[in-house]
Amino acid sequence: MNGPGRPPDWRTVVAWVIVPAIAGMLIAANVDRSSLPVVGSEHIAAVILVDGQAYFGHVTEVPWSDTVQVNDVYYFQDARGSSMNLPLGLQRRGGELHQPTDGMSLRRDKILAIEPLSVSSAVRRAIAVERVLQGAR
Amino acid sequence: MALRVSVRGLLLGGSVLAIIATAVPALLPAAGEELTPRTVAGRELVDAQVIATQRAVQRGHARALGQLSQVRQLKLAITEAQAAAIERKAKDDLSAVRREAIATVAGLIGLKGAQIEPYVVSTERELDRADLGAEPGVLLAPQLFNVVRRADALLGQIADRATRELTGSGATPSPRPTGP
Repeated sequence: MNGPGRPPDWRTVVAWVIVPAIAGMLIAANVDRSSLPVVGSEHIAAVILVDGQAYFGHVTEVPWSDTVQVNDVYYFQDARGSSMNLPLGLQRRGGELHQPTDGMSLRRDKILAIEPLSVSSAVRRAIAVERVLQGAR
Repeated sequence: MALRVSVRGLLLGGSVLAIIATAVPALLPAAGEELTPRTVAGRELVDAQVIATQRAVQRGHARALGQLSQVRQLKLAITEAQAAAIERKAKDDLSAVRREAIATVAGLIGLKGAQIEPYVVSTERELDRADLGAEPGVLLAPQLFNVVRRADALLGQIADRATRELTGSGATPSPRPTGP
């Protein structure tokens, strides 16, 4: 270490200023602030499979894995002929006969696209209402 | 400034890094899910979906009543008194299904006990007056969608059963004794 009044040598500057600054710039350039846990906003994405089925939920890209994890999963169900004036209805995964617990893994090679949903998306709005209803009872 | 790192320190650091590298990918989804903030709807959006649900149920109710009305305009093989009794029974059943659907919605939005009956009565009154012209569909929350789906199924069954009874198309033959 340097004594009082002595200017820091170049190795100290590199170790304590330059390297952290470069690391900070790299992190800032590669991390989406809005997707940070706790402080970020919620990201709901549509995972569209090659067979046309779509799932909506929180998508986690697991490093070094050939699967993508989706949590809090919703999907469309056929509602043709219903009185809703819409051919589709939204269902929450978990109520099926085999009662899956939350979370599903989808193989990457079966995924056609992963698309983030906008805040005004009808799916997001329906999910937001569902959460209120779950809390209301 | 000389940086001295012992072999023991290097091994310890390597071990910690190895544990992190193997554990983080496994724990990342669960931890991320726990920490992900959840957006919930405001009062206005919930109210809009509740109203859309009630109106969808009312459309199903009106459709079933329309089916009954069409059948009643036919010349039927049964007497007028019989037809009126079947129609009355079907209309009561249709109203009961609508009432049940509205009560279910009331439960979903948190109403309890004595609050439900006045809510159902006032909603029924509003729906009877409502103009259900061509409205754009609303993608409902799953629990509200299930209310509409169930009501649709029951309303359809009641209307179809009444149609069969009125027209005699679904009459089953009286059982006959079998054997010699």
